Amino acid sequence: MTSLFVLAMVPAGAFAAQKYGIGQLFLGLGIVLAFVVMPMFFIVVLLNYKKENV
Amino acid sequence: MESLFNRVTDGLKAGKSMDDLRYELLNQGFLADDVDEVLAKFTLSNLEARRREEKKRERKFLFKELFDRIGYGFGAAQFVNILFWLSGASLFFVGMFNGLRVIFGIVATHLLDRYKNRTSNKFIGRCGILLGFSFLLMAMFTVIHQPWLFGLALLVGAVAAVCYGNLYQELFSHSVKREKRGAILSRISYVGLLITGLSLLLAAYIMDRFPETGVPVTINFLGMSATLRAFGYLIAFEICAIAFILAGYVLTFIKGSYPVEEEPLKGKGLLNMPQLANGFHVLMSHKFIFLTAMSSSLITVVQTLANSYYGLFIFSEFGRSFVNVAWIFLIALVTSFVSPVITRINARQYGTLPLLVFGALLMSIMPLTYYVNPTFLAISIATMVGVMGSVIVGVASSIFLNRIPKGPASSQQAT
Repeated sequence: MTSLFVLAMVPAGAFAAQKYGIGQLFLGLGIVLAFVVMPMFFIVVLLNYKKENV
Repeated sequence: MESLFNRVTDGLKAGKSMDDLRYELLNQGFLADDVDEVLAKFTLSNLEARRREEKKRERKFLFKELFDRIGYGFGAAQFVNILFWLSGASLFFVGMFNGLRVIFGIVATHLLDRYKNRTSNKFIGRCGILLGFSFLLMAMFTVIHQPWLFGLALLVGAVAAVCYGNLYQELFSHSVKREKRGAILSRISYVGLLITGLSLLLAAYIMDRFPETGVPVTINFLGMSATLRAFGYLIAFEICAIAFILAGYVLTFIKGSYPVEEEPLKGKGLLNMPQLANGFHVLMSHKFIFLTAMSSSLITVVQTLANSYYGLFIFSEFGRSFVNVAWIFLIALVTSFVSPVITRINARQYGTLPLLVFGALLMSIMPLTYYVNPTFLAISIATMVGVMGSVIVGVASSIFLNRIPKGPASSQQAT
């Protein structure tokens, strides 16, 4: 699954770097980590907490 | 006594055990004291020979490890990406080939797992030699500005690196027991870090001293003089190639048994469908496992993209200096070494799952700092923080995923 995801997403990121510059790509990656990945992990923590305590 | 000695030698050569030989010689009328004395001498000499053999093997492993660390320093991934760009590749090309490198690595790891019992020391050594030659090719293609060929050499190197690295780790831990490793070999991770760090700095110095445009060097020999253009990256990658080739060559001479899987491969295809279906079932039946897998995949994409461009960004922002890149990634190297200890302490204190959130937060600081405040100090600290975050996420998610149920039956119990 990771391979397919990398196969699909990395060219898009590389294209963004080519078109808008590396700085803009870093901004995008930082936003993805801070506003997508981190909340996803937060939900994982909450779900696990609910599973253990309910 | 001499005839007794000869008989024992012949008996051992014929493959008889010590007990059988003793019984046979006593039956032939030799005195028990004489027989025991000769057999004791043989046992001692056998032990000494085995010890000598072990020392020899350990020395070969040590040489191999040292050459490897030199190779890893001189052929650091960030230098490869910068050279790829200098060979004429566009930013898109650099990112694209790094993505392909990750996929090739995943596929190679999968294939290695399946065909592990068909490998040998010689195969691992040859992979090391291939890795060395891929670096040599990359340096050559940078000189002649051929980005496509550089990309192909990069992919070949990625597959060779996976085969070489993964299989060697298993061979090493199986062949040399932890308690039998010598003073340097038992501390190879510390010594190796030092050697890799020094090699990284030395490679950067060479590449700065002889920049990409080349420096004319005049050689005088027996009254004749010739002027050549010296390229720093060519020198650095040649050292890296020689180190890996030597490491692979040494490995082909190591006598050691490779751990063989007992389970036969018969009946298994390239893709193990029942296992895949089982994995898919577990993934879909737990919301939090699905979310963890999704976020881990996203992190892989972000890391692949970001690692393709960090070195390039530092190189172009700070006066096209390789030494600046080396300093920042030396910080990353040291941080990645101490971070697992910090992670384990924190995991015990706060639990594994909250660390995932914390790690993701630390990771996001790195690319944002590169964008918002691209100064040397800020980038150094951000790199330290980002590497620590990625180690935290890696360690925490592996602890978490090891706890999840493996089969459909157990997954239903868990839900």
